[in-house]
Amino acid sequence: MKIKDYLLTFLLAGTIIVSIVLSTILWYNPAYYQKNRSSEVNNSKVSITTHSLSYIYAPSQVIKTNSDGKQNMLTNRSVNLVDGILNQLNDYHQAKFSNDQQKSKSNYFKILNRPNSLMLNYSSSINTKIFSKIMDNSKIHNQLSNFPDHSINRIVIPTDDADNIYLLSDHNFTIYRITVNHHPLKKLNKELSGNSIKRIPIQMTDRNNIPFIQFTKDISMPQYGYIINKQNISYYASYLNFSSNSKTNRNRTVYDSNSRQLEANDKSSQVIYSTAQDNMQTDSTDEFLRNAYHNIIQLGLNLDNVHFYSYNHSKKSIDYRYFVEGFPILGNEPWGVIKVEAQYNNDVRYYFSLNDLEVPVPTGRANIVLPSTDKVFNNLRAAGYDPNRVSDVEIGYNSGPNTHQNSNILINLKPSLYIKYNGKWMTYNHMLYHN
Amino acid sequence: MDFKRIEWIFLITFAVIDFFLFAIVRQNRNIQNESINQDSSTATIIKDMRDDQISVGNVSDKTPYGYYISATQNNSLKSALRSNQLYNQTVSFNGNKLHSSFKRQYVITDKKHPENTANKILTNTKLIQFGKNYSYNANLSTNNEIVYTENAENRYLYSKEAQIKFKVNKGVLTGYSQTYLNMVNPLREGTKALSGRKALAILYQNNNIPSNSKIEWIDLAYTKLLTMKNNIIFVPTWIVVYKTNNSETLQMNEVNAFNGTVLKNENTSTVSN
Repeated sequence: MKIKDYLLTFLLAGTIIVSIVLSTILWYNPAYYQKNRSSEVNNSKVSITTHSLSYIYAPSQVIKTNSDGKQNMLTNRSVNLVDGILNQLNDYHQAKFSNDQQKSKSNYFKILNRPNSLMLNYSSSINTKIFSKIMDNSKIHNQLSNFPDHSINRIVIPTDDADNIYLLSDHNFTIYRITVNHHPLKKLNKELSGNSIKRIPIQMTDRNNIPFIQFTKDISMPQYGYIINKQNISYYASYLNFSSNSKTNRNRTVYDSNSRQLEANDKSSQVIYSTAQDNMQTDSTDEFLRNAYHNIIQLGLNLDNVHFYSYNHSKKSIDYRYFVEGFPILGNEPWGVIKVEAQYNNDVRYYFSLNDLEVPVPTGRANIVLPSTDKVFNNLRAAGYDPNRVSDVEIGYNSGPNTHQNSNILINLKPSLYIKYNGKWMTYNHMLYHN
Repeated sequence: MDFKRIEWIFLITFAVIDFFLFAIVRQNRNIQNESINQDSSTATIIKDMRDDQISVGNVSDKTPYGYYISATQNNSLKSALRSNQLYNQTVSFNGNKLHSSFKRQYVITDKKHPENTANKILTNTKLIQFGKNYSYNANLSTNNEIVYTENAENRYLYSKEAQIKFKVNKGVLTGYSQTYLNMVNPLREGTKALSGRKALAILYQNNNIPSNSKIEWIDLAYTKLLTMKNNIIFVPTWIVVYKTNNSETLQMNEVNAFNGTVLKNENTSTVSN
């Protein structure tokens, strides 16, 4: 009799605890009932965004090493070169994974400089699971997705060895080898020999134990013209289902809805959208990168020419950037970058710009010549800098200041060299002339 | 009322509350995990169109590559004439548009395919300048006119500034008019464009295709987006031509194949055939 009495009390306590727990979940994560509404709206309009995960996470740079060891960075004006190369890997089959335990620097640089090879680079590490997603159409896709998950930032494809692909991580000089069944390389080599391919001579060197791209000659780079389209914040407000009216406060327009907020700065054109999304709280790189992609494609942004640029594991943040012909747009923030940041609570913040690269136009302007890395170092030394503190040199495009102030304007994107000095990125011209 | 009975009532009430809360959490989690499949939504819309008595036919789901194309409008037809004489015709210009009438007219040999005769003239550089840059456009041709359109990246440039029109009169070609765009080049690397199916779905959703109609043809071509000084920028465009069941006139709609904007929705132009 007594046991039955206690049982009833325990059951009652149990049900009360369960109801408190479930109520708390719903209380702290209103995304649960807001999601309902947004998915209905998405179904009723045809989604225009057609950019797949493999487009956004495609490697951003292609380097080819010839049989004599000479290296060139490749870009292609008429087709997407990375896309073309990855398509050639679709016929690879029967992949096996192996892990080089040696982690030797000399072996690592041997692979980086391997004659007759093709290297696809990321500016920040991804992982092997994302690589398997990029190989979505490939016959080895399923095998790849079962391989152990590792962080990587380079893919090396030999053009004379039909059996291997290497995945590399600069961190610890780790080499992962994927052995595939023998496959023909003719098409891949053809892909790399087109007339529309531009070649920039470089050499991969070891700079303070970090692989470093040295531009061996002066580089003549074209300028690009674009018409910028300034989107109205009300477009994003309606896309993201903010039903209430906005509040305007000086230059800021703010939409509020429960725990979500959309804010635009009319002057800088920056948009900040914060919302509760528990799918970004994961510690797994693979899940974080995948979920970030799934979240950004639902913001209504134009993702043409947008690719993954950098990922910071400890800050749980990720940058996607606009690219022109294989080179990122740098230094035009808030324009040119889409930033995703997971906060400590369940909130995720998205930073982007109302301005959008819309239509390319001919500029009629002459190419700009960027100096070779040797010249850069000499000039920096002459200007009083210590070249040993330079850890990276990158080509980027920039439209100069004040891009964000007008709408529907024509901008001119100029190439410039970006130097990582003392861990901070600066333009070469700024270092020389604004010292 | 004894304490035990109160406990029972509370237990049942909380069990019911738990059940509902759990159902809400579970339902929403499913929605959150569900990835939105865009192609299936297009397929649903195409099905809706068929239910609405719109004859759609077979439209591809493939996403072709497209380019932004730049072309220059100048007097290249006129200036090329200085070094290259054209035979058997009198030539005059109206602005940059060339008008020519043949001295000895050409008899159309195959009445069903008058373009066969026109093709021979087109490819003869002594009769027409830059002829190899144009190709026959059956969609725009009529009984009185054989129309050729300039090409860009293996597709038509739909523009009055890039056409050759042969005049047909009683089975003979009497002359032609020509406009020409110079330096037709892609501006950036190719980008995947929308599929024809998606273009149709967008038009239907924007009420641009009425019920009880038939899609006559759909083609991806380049149309003029904007003009800057002498440069014209073209964008890949899905051209959709349909006919309502109770009318004989063809209606034309255009959808920007990069961003899905409906380019002609207000005043739908009529194509005579």
